[in-house]
Amino acid sequence: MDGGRRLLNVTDRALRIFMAFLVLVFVLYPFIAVFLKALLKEGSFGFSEFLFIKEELYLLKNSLKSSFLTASISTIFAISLSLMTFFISKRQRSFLMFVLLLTMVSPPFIGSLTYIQLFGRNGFITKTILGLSINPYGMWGVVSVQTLGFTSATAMLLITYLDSFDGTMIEAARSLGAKTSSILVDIVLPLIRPAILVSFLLNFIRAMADFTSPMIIGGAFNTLATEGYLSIIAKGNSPRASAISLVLFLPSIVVFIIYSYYYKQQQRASKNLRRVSSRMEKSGLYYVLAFLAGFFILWLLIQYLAVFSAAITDRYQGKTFFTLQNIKDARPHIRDSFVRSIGYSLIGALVSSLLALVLSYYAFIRNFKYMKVIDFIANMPYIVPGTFFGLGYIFAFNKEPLKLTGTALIVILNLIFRQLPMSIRTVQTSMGQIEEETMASAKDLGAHNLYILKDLVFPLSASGLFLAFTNGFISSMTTVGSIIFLVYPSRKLATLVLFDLVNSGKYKVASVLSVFIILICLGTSLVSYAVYRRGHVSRS
Amino acid sequence: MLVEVKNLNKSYGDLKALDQVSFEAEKQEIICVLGPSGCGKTTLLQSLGGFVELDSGTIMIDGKSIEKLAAEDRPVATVFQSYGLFPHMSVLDNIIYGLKFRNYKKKAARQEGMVMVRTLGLEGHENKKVTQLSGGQQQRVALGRALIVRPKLLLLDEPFSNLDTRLRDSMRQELLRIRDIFGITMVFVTHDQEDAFSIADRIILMNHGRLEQIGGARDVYDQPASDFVLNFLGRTNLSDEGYVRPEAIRLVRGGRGARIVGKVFKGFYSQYTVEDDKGSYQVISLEDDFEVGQEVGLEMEIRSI
Repeated sequence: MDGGRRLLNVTDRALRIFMAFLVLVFVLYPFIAVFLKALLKEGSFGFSEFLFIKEELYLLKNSLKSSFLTASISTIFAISLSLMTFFISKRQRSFLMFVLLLTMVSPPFIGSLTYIQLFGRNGFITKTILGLSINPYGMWGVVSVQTLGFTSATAMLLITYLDSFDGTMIEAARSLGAKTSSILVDIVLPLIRPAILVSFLLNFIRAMADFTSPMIIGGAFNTLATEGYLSIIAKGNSPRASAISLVLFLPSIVVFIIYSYYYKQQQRASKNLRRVSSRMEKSGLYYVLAFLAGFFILWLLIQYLAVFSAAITDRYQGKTFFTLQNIKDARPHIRDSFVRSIGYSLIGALVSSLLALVLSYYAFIRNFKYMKVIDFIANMPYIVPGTFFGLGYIFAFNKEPLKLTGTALIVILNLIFRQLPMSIRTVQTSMGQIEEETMASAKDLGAHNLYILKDLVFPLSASGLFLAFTNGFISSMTTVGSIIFLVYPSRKLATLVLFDLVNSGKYKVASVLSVFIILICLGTSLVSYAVYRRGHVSRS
Repeated sequence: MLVEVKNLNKSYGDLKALDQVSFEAEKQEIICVLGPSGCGKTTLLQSLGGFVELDSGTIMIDGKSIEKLAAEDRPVATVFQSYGLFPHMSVLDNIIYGLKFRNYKKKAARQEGMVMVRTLGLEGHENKKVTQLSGGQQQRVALGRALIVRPKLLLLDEPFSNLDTRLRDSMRQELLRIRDIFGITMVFVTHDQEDAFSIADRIILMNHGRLEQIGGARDVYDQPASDFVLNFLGRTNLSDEGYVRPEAIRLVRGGRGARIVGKVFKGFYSQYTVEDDKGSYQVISLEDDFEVGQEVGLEMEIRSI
């Protein structure tokens, strides 16, 4: 073996070990840290921190009740929206996807912000139009805001699932005499049941983990998530916060397992299917679906109209007028935080998509057994509540040798590893399309494994990398939960500034910031979608 | 006539998928639509089934025009290429699904379904999931599911394309048997001329959305109406004067005027390349003892379209 070859082998192994090291330190260790904090008291194990479940049972009850409602209602809306794709034209479908995309690129509490502006004590709809002065704070406010915020993502998930649906079945049912309602009830709904279950569960754990909506519009309605947040921020009681996080974390493990199972099934099912764009007759159940979908879209559009108009109007003596004053007022809040947000998100997205590539390469192309374990660990942050992952970082990195708290690095690392599971999924999808023969022939020609990574896997996964990068950027730009405890007060990110503004009632300025975040993310995703499609067309 | 199709037209942008297509079918007739991919044969089938909206034209079945009816309201059933079976239902539930819309009680439907199961030789499989069946069995389920609703016209889209050669042969026989049992009229689409020649009463040849010729297997083979039909069915030697099929040329031992320049042994026949002063010909012969270089005579009758 010559020296060059040996160097390559050493580099190959070092890269692998470094990957494993990163995942163990920045994913597994923080997880363990939360467990230890909750369970370990003065050197011995105990469950005393979990007594709150019994003593403050109402917290658990509130969480379960509101999350169940949110998950049910938003799943019903998501089903209606996704099934509409069987009835609508291509152009209508693009519009639907755009509206759904809009919520995906919005900061999470935009719903709460507009809810107050529309239905609050001085709300545009309740006060100005209906002349009412009602108390909008409480569980139903939380449920409605969460529903509005969560439905889009699950609708997208269901639409992707339906895209792999064998349209021949629908044509077959029709040719046997089945009308729309029968096709939906007998064929479509039973077949997408797994996806519906996953949607429900994902929404359920998202609702359980959401602390911003109950914080802003829950009023006296407290949940586990708000209590967990307040334990740290207001009371500085980190064992209690950890215990609460663990309780929120447990159901998400179940969801994760179910989700992984169906995700694999779906990937298998979507191979070798003939795409038939057969549309169904508009009859029967269609009208129910159309009503629900229409209602949801209208509601969503009103929300965005409200944010955009709030950003550029003001009211004085009962009159609404156009103004740029809000934007001027927002300037000091925007300047540093936006630069920082964009910078952190760019770095986070770039690094996380590259890590996803290297990790997937070792786990699924080179098939190292222990790298599969590392891959599993790297996927763990996918559905844990953001606050859980954030707390883990505080406990894990507040002491030597890895004292990172208060630095920009800890925030960026958190963004990277929080994003990693999504990046891995995206990268693996495009990596899976590389044929084994291609790599075998490179090897046959004498290429070292590292060259295969650099010359074949990297360029051939480019579209996946690009998508992972875009998604990573957008979700880092809009994230709150995982970084809220990590960011140094004088170095806030845009979403956190926004959260403070909403909490302190500065709705006008908050609207301006929301609009900016939406525009940046929307612009990014539209541009990248255009680039992605162009790349795809020119290749095929 | 049971089926009367007149002047069907359908365009996708500039592409004419159906161009003034007309034909008729008698009761119990099996009509096969044959053509290269993209010739419009699938569009024709889909327009009969109600899955494609026609630009113009009429489709009559039993004297009633159906072209305005939705797929679910037509007295037509389709067996799809990929079958479109319902994977979450048992074999029996797949077969009786259509009875649900014909006011059958569940029990009566199951009885009727079991009769179909037996007719198609699927006994013992009725409670299995369709995903547990072999390709040939799945095909039978798809057939049974379509037949049980007693359609006046059965459409089949490339029905044998997912089956291996031997299974294909037995399913062809099966289809003829089913026609006799149910007295049903069928239109089926294929790109395989062996399918067409084996079971069709009449063959429709399509190209670029146009119906090029319709007739019995012997008619279209022996009297092709166009160059397309001539070239699409079998092989042909073309010359300025006309054409001659390779199997219609006889090599005359001890004759003169032509020479064997190539020979390929094909098993039960041999294929020769022969040249005379007018040109070169492909010849198919059961005799395999001519050798390259040998001088022979040629007997043939040049035909013209």
